Amino acid sequence: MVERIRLFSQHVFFIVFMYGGRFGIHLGSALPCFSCPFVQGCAGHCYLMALQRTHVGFQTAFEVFFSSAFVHVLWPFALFLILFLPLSKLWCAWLCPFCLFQDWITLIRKRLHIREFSMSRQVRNRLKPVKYILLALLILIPLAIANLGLHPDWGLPFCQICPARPILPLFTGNVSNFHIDMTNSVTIGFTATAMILTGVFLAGIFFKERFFCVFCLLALMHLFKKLSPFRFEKNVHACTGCGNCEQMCPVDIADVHLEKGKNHMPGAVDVLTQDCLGCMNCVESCPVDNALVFKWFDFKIFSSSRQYMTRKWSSK
Amino acid sequence: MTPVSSRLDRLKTRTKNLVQTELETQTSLIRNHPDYSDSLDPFIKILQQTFFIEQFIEQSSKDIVFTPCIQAPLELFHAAGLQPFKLACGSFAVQNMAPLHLPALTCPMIRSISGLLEMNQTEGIPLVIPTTCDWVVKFSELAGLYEKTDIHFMELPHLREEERSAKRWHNEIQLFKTWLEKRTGQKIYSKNLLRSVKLYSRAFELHDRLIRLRRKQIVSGLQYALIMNAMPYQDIEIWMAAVETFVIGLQDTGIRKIPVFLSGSPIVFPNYKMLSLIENAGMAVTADDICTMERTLQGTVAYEDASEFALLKALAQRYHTACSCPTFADNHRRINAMVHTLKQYEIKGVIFHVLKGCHPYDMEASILEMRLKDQGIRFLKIETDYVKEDEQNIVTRLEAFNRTLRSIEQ
Repeated sequence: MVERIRLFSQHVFFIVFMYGGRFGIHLGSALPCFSCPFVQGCAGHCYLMALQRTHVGFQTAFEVFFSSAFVHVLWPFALFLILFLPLSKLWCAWLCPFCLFQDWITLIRKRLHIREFSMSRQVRNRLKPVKYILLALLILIPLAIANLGLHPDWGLPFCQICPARPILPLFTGNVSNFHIDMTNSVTIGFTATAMILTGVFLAGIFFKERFFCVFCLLALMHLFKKLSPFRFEKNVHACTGCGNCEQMCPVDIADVHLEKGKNHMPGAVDVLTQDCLGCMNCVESCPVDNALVFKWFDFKIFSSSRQYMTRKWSSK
Repeated sequence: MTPVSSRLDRLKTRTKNLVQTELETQTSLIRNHPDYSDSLDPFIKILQQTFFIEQFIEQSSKDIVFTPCIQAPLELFHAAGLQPFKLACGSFAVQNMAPLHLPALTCPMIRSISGLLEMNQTEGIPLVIPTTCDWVVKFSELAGLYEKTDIHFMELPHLREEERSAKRWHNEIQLFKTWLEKRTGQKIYSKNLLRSVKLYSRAFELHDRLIRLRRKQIVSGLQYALIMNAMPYQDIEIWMAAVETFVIGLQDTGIRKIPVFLSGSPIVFPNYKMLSLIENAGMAVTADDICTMERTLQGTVAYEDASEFALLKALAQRYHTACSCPTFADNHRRINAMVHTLKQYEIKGVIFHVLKGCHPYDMEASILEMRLKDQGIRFLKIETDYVKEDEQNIVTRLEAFNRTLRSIEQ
């Protein structure tokens, strides 16, 4: 049931984000999901682009940071927070168009009965810093362009290598982002890297569900989770340790199962982690009543139920 | 001088007669119980047949494979077209045939299993042994089965939450599948496995309905034990049909006793001593975590996709991580599950049944007692075996426990 509602939501928002602009919808340039600005006629832009741009992002002279003009940088960020906070991780698995694209690829793999590639807990932990490295580059490169004279072709460094840039425009019939720009060594480097990464990610997504999400920079919005009314809690003392949550998680989060050493704590503990996509697969597959709960303030959005889980799997 | 074989044959005949008498006595006790209904007949019938394995094989449409524990996935047996035969025995009479060299403090169930295998012609029937407790690991050697049959060991990692354990057990499940394929000469395709997984998921849904009825005391502990004990010997679809018939015919008597949670060593037909005594003492077993009762079907298998790898991985996880066998080292969550059930269904007392010689449960009893008492839950440990001589003593303790629980309720 929840899975179907989520799929419906993903498809509706895919249409809205990808084609909404053609019908006059404009949701701004601070969206906390991969609504790619390179899609013609999209309804809004991913905040990562604004973050790298001049005037509204980090491609700004140092003196601006200490002047009233800094409000232009802060405003998109404030807008990003206003959009992110009420829905938090629901932006990922319920709204993000690139997430839905990944789900389609996974669906093809599943239909072909091809096994998924396993990624150990150790490998996942080692990959976690990649997001922070990308964020640092995303900030430092635009700063260097604005302040240290780095060539402007280094602009929008993340967008230039993001696999969503060539892939998502395909749904509007635009294949122009699949190319190597031979203008200079920088453009050759960026476009070649983008093509290689696109190939790697397409293969990765096929063999590993939500492979891109492992590296997604927007997952770092998790840093503001305490400001959000969206909560994911686990009643530790109800957990039987069956491991279904980890097994069914598209990004193999172990912290819901193992609670990051919080099992000595009484009552409910926060298990919303950086990589969580809010897909609620874990809650759907948990066989213990109220062991896992998604909440909005104190209202239960969805909680685990033995009966729900049993019915779901016996009617599959 | 009488030849050894002739003496052995006489012992076999005498034991078979004793077992027959024991079964008749127990069956008539069960049938005369106020909870009994005719819809339980198919379960009793199959349980009686399990003592005469040659006849059981004759009547079975599938080849059988012995397995003493619940960690060998039932879905794989089904997908391979084989009938699992759970090596769990509650007969005291059959112990006459147990090898004399078994240690004095042998687990009564292992003694009975050894006797059962000796009493019947079981040579050549394959055996799958998940390495759970020491008795299960060693009994095949003690019973001299190495020379008689094909034994496949599934090496069970005793850490539930470690990734390395999950990988090892997944590998064991794959090896088990290969072994089954070799036995049958037929490949287990993922579509067959998926069909079996779905079938057992439906069985679990039915089981869940049964559990809910049990919590409300509409199904008694004895009825439930019969149904669940019979499950690992029957074709799952036949079992489901019999359970459906039983559920349709159920009537709520309206009688409500003090609910208790039963934990500990396996309770196997026809040894329903503990269940009867608890009920006679005025309590009702409305929940348990016994591997021959509620843990026979522990949960639905949740799988990522229908590929063979994913299905085997899901099965491996379901039969390892989701299992709360006391042989696991990191088993603290077993108590969580118990406390959660106790609170959810307002059960105030736990009766812990230990078969003399069943070391893992004996060791876990004290840990459990401490944790449960911290939560204000009353705990009673009863150590017994298959004999009837200690019944009066147990009843006295159970009645006192019942009085304690009643005083808490008031």
